[in-house]
Amino acid sequence: MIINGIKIEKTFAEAFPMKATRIIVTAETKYWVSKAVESMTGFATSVIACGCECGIEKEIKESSTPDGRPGAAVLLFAMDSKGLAKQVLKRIGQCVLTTPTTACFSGLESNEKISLGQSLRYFGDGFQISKKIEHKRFWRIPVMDGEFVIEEKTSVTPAIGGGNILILGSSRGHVLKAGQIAVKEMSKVENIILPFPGGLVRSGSKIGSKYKGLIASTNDAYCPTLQGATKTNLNNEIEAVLEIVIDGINEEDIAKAMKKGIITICKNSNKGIKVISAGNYGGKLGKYHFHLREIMK
Amino acid sequence: MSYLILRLKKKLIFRLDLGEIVPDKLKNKKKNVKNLKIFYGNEEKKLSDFFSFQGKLNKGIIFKGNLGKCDYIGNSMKEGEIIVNGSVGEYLGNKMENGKILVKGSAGNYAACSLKGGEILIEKNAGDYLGSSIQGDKIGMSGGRVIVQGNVGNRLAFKMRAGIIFVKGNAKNYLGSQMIAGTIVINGKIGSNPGILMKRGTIILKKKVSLPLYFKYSGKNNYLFLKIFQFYLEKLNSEFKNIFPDTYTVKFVGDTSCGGKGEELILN
Repeated sequence: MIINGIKIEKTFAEAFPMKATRIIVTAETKYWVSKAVESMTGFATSVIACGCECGIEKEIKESSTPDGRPGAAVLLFAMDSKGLAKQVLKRIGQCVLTTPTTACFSGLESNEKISLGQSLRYFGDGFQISKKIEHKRFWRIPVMDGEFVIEEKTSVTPAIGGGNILILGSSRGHVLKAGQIAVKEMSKVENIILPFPGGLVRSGSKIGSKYKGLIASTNDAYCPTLQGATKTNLNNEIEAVLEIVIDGINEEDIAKAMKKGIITICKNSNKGIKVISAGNYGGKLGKYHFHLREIMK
Repeated sequence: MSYLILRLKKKLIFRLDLGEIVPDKLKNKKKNVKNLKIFYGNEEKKLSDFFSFQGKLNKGIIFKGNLGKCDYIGNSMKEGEIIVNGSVGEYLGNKMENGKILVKGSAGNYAACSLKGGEILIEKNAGDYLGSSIQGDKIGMSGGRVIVQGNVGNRLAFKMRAGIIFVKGNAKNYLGSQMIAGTIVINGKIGSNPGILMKRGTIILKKKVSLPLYFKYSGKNNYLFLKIFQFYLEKLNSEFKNIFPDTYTVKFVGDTSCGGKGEELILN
């Protein structure tokens, strides 16, 4: 399959099951919302070493937040609910509770719940107050600028991590430009995040390493400087590869984001971009397979 | 027709116990509704001795007539709706768990007593002990919503444990006394000793009052939870619309005489 001179490889992105939650963070102004969520989503690119993958899903207008103030939705992904709960507690406790004027709410509804403010309330040292409306309980934790309001629990949903596309181009400049344009468009899709810095990742990995104890190492088949030294998936035309990783709470939206990214690249970057591919492990790692050519149909 | 309509046929001299006449209990007794036993004073009678019947029980029950001597309407109700086209007696919605009750008149004493869930809307006034515990019980209302569009009597929310009571008119003495938790909002004036011996919970007042001595001034601040509360309540019932126009309030804590950490927020 060739679109606008760019080859769409007959391959698939291999993704695996995760658990996710959506947290709504609000604050007095957009400035403080962004400070809180930027801090909360820091160091959360990969479960390999960060404990979770998370990112800002979308901005939320005042009219749609639980307290009528500006807000943002953050999606957090981890391998299991227990791991997710740990990360939620740490990140809300250290990044959102600490940010002036913020409040924090669950942005999902499901039967499986993890603690949001349930553990954090103890920061109130006995002065915390709970308020229950129907089946929702909120905690009011006294802090130095007034009160930090946080919902007691957030819901967990099955999710998918590791959807991806690889952009192969004739120069780093071309690939970077194409990647940035694609990320901008893909970020408009709801229910997904692109957890890496700026949505792009240059250090794509393969499973395992020649070094004992290392669970992942550089994806040498896509490193342009290793052509000739290892079994490569690149040809002489390719000088750079960047990956866009997508985590989402359902298959449809991940596929939608991948398609949007590929279409954007093919429309805007026909000169320097040669191939769109995807990373997989032969189907052994994850049960979700996003076949590029099927997505593009 | 979605409602079973029960019209009171005669003037009552004694009190009539309608505790068994709730939608979830009648659902399984559709054919025998007319012969249901109820207490009139201390005598056991049939429901058909007092009421005429019309319609079918799908959504709920509509009571018509002067039910001022009919007690326990909506007792332990678990689902459905009850609409009363007039006033009701005592213990309205006693121990109710879910569903809705609309009273188009006033309610007697002990309305919403030990309420656990659901919603009660009283279009006129309510008597004493609204949302309180039944005499001798340790906790009063422990969930649900009560809206009174008129005034309420003494000892509103005595030993209340959870839920929200919203009174658009005035409340008499000792509101929220021995309150354990929950939220009370009073639009109008209140009597003496609000929140006396309260442990926790929130009393929100919209008119300036003199509080018992044991309530301590706790400063002014912006209480965001009021806005959150308002948005959630508005979705449940439009009666709550703009219930807290401002979130910047004065706070008093107490009752310190019993180590209480309750709060009285004065919006005005």
